[in-house]
Amino acid sequence: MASIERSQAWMCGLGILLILCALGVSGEQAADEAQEVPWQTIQQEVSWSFVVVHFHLKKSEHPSADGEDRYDSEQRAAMEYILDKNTVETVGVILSESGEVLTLERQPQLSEVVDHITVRGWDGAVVPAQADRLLTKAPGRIVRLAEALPEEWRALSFAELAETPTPEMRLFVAALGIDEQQRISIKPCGYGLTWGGETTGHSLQLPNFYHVGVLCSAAGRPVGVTIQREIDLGPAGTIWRGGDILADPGISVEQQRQLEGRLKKEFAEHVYEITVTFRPQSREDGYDFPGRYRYEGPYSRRGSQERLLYGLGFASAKLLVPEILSAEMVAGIDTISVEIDGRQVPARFDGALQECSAMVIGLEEGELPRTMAFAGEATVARIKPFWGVSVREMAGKDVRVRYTRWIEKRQGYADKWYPVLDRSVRVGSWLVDDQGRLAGLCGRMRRAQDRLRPYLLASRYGSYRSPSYFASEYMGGGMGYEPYPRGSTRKLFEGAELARLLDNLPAGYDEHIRHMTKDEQKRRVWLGVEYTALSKEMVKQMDLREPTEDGRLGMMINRVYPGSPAARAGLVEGNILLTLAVPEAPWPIELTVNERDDYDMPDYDEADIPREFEAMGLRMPRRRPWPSRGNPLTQMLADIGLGTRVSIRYIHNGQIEEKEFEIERAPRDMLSAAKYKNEELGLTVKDLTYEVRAGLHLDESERAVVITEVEQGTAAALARINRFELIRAVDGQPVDDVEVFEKLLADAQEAEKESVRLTVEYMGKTRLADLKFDAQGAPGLLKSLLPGLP
Amino acid sequence: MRDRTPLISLSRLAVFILSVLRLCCAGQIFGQEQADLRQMINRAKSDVFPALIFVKPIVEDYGSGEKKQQEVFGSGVVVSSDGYAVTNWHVVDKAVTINCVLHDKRQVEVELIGSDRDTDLALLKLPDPAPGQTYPCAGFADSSHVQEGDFVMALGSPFGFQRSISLGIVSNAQRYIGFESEHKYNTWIQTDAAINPGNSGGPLIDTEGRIVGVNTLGVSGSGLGFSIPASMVQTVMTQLKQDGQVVRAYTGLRLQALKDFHSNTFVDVALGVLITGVEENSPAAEAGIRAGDILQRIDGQVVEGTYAEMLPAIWCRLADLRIGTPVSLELQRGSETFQATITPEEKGQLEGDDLDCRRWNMTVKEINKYRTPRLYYLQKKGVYIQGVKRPGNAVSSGLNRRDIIVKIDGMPVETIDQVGKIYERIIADEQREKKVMFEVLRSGLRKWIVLDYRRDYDEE
Repeated sequence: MASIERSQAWMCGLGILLILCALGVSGEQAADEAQEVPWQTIQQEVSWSFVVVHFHLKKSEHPSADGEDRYDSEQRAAMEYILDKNTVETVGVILSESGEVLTLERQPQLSEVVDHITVRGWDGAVVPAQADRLLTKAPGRIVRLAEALPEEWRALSFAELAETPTPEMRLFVAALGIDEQQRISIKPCGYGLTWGGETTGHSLQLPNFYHVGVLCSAAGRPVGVTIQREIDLGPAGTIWRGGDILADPGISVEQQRQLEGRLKKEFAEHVYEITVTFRPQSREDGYDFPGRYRYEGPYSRRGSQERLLYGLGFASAKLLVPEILSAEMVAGIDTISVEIDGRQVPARFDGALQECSAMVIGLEEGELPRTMAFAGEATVARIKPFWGVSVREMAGKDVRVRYTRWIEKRQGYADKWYPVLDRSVRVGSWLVDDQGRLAGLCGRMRRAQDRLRPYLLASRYGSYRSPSYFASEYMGGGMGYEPYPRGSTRKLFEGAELARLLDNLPAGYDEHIRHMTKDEQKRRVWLGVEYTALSKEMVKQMDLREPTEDGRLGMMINRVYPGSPAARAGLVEGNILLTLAVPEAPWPIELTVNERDDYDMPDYDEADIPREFEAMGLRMPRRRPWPSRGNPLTQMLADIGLGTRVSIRYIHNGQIEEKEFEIERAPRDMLSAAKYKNEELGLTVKDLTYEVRAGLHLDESERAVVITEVEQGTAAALARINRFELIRAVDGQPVDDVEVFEKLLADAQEAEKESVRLTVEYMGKTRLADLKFDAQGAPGLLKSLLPGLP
Repeated sequence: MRDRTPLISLSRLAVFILSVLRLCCAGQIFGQEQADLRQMINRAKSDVFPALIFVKPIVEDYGSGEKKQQEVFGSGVVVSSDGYAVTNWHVVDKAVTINCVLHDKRQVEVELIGSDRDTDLALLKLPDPAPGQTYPCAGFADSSHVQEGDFVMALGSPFGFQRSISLGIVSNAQRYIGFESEHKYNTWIQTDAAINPGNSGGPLIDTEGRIVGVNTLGVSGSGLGFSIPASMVQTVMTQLKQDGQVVRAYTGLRLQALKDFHSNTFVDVALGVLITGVEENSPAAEAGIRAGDILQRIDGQVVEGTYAEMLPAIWCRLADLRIGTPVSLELQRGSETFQATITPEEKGQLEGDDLDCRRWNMTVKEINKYRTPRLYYLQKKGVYIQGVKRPGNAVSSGLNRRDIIVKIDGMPVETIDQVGKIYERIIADEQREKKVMFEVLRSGLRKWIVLDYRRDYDEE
């Protein structure tokens, strides 16, 4: 009895199992039926329509140079293709019997490097082709076969798809991959629904495909073509239906050529050449902090004293220049002139826009004969081609025109979405629509904390850099074809936005970028300290590993200048500055020291080598016995801004403290000290400033002037006085400052004295030197060293 | 017509014969001069050569970051029959042993009787000669009679080539070289006789075989050599023999000639010397003397300092003042003449003491006004790093030559003794971590550096 029951149970279980399996099989069958792909039909419909378009390249005849004497990246890429005997290949699809082929326009980027075009079909046949037109309602371009369509090739035969695709509708995309296998892939499309449940704003979500995809219906018939991964099915979306694509008149090659020619001419007339010169750096200031006055820029050689800019006249006496000079450069502008119809008209720096990398130059006299306005209906709409016009110097005014469009947006600064250019255009290009109307500017956005960015990110770099190092990063000084990574500042400023910015002047100018007088340019701000680097061992010994992050963080104070904000705040030698909190910054700036920036000038002239051996070159040149006040800390405080109230965190006697102080203007230092230069005597002296006093251990009561320059072959050189020496007295009369010194010399000359006796001091040792007034034609030292010369 | 040929022939023959005779005479004369010169050289050489000694001291050197002994070489000359010899101070400075090789190839150890850094002279004593014997010695000439153009010879051991002679002339008999702190007390005999490293301390002799100077400075390959005149050598020798040292007075005055051609500074007064500076806290400063004053008389005696060559004599006078005894100076300031009384002090140590901090692989030295005036300006009293051994703990830790040590492990230091005591205490403490915190002054600014001396470079 028990065995029968067991076997019945077993049989029941087996039966249930079999039923379940059967259900599973039938379920799969049902699914299969539901997902059936019309492979064969699609293959029949599209196989003979795919082609490969070959762009055969040539070296551009247009002068290249991106300002750094290099080919720009696209030209370089084209040249490498040529050397590698490669063509640029894109997939195309034959749209009509007349030989229209839709393909990508993203490559090659430069039109001028295309020598000729050929199209290769599935059978290997190659037919020449020509560029025909750009689509205006969808991305893509049409090339047209130059010969009759070969027999074995076939144009797509589009079926009508009247209704808008729905999620229930099955669509497929077929695409040719031009890898080694060269297979056609067929994948189903997806459907995108609006976030939020609305019934509009849906999209077709296409799977990844190569270059051009043919959209096919559930029955396998081609209904459209696209190069996009997502097609917006709303009214603002691109066309994709075959009929619509064919009906898009586009912009023909000839129309494009005519438009670009017109743009070149117009912009050549409306963009003016602006010459900016900078104050030369005097030799005696040459020792100052390197980089402070280095005039760098993408188009100029380092240290150049002149820059050429190109500005668009947008108002009767104002030009907009689509780039920004760094704050240092603007501060040191000497002259600006605008070339108007062959004349050089003086101009001035009005300001740099706060939000856009552009600056305004204003004429000092007269008006601009030709201007363009920004306000208007011209826009850079999605999909539609527009043009970027850039002007730069190349054998005169060189106007370059490139077309582009934007299709997608990418998230960027402040989580906003910014259009991404399908074809790159120079930053600083004026944007023009297909009617030739000024539509905006491809520039760089300027962000709220751009000037602080290098300092806020200093820990990444491990050290401070001069802001000019970051000029291309945040000041918009660069005009290159950089890729468009996340975090990039490239932005399309439409005309309306620019008009708004330009209407908001002068309030819309960046207060940190302004022209300064010569004196102002040299003035610094200060905290009032000198500092040195920490090391891990040092902080271990001091038991300060944690707050200084093993010595990575912190500046150790090794001098506090009397009367400075640091002195008033009670900072002393040995304190370690940790961070500086600036109101607008999201976190405090970490203070670190690059050992390279430590003042470390060993004294070489301790050896008692008599002056008689000077001519033999046995005496080492004198070194400046005090540190320059242009150091990364003062530079940073200047960038933060005079008058800004900041908070400094520091370690004092092992405890962390915090104090606030306002960034003040520093007393004059050697760079900005009052100066007296007597060219005839070949001597330049400056007032004794606070850092010199500290370096030479001179208290406030001591009076002297500092020799900062002695010209060779002059009376000063004959008197054997040197840089960095002090002049204490003239004919026994104490010298308080440069004014007194000048007066004493003048008095002596007026009294027709032949010379004055200077009391000169160097490192505590004084001597007397006669400075002769009539030492003209005196032989220079160099001459006296050369044998044989009379 | 008579044939003129024989007459012409005869006259031509006569001319020929006369020419030949003239040539023979010239050759003879030239040969005579050559013979004279050779004889002169031989005589001079033979008088002095036996007195020439090759001086080979083993000196202590601290400059490389550790106290090392190394053998250096120079030259010297025996100046008395009982074995006193003179050489340069810089040849025997910090010598632990001085050996000399004599003319008869004997090497003997000599005694340093005394040395004078200011004049760069030193007096040696060879071992007493055997009874009845004497050392060959050279005599001194009156160096004031040396003139430009005189033939002289430099004897010595250039680059170690013992017993070499070079011949030249006196280029300048009273060359002034404006050293800041040393060599102020004599002018120099400049010669183009080759003086190279190794010649130091050797004699410069005249054609009579007498010492006119002691070779001291030279610029190799330049034809510029400088010797201390015999008169100064003799003066210093006497003092060294008597006292073992030369004591000088210090006034704190800095002087310049009334007519200084180097700086083109000319003072229009008849006599005196220009005071260009007065050192802080010096006797001259206390006496109220200022830069620009003209020093005209010292203790009633006129001072002549019109030209630079006259300065050394003035320095000697000032140095010879009696220490601690007020002396009256007559000075001119502007158009006024006034008297000042100055009480000279003893000129202090010319060089700071050294210390080898072996385990730290560095040597230190006291700051000295004369030797390290720049450091002295930054810190009057202190100790600085003289040398760092490479590779070594000090240099690896970031300490540099010429760093002034302010504190070691938080303890202030100002003298070598203090550094020595701290060093010994730290090294002796085996339990402590082998790291020391240094606070130094570098180019006038403080730096904090941890010296890690875990590695023992002596054992490696």
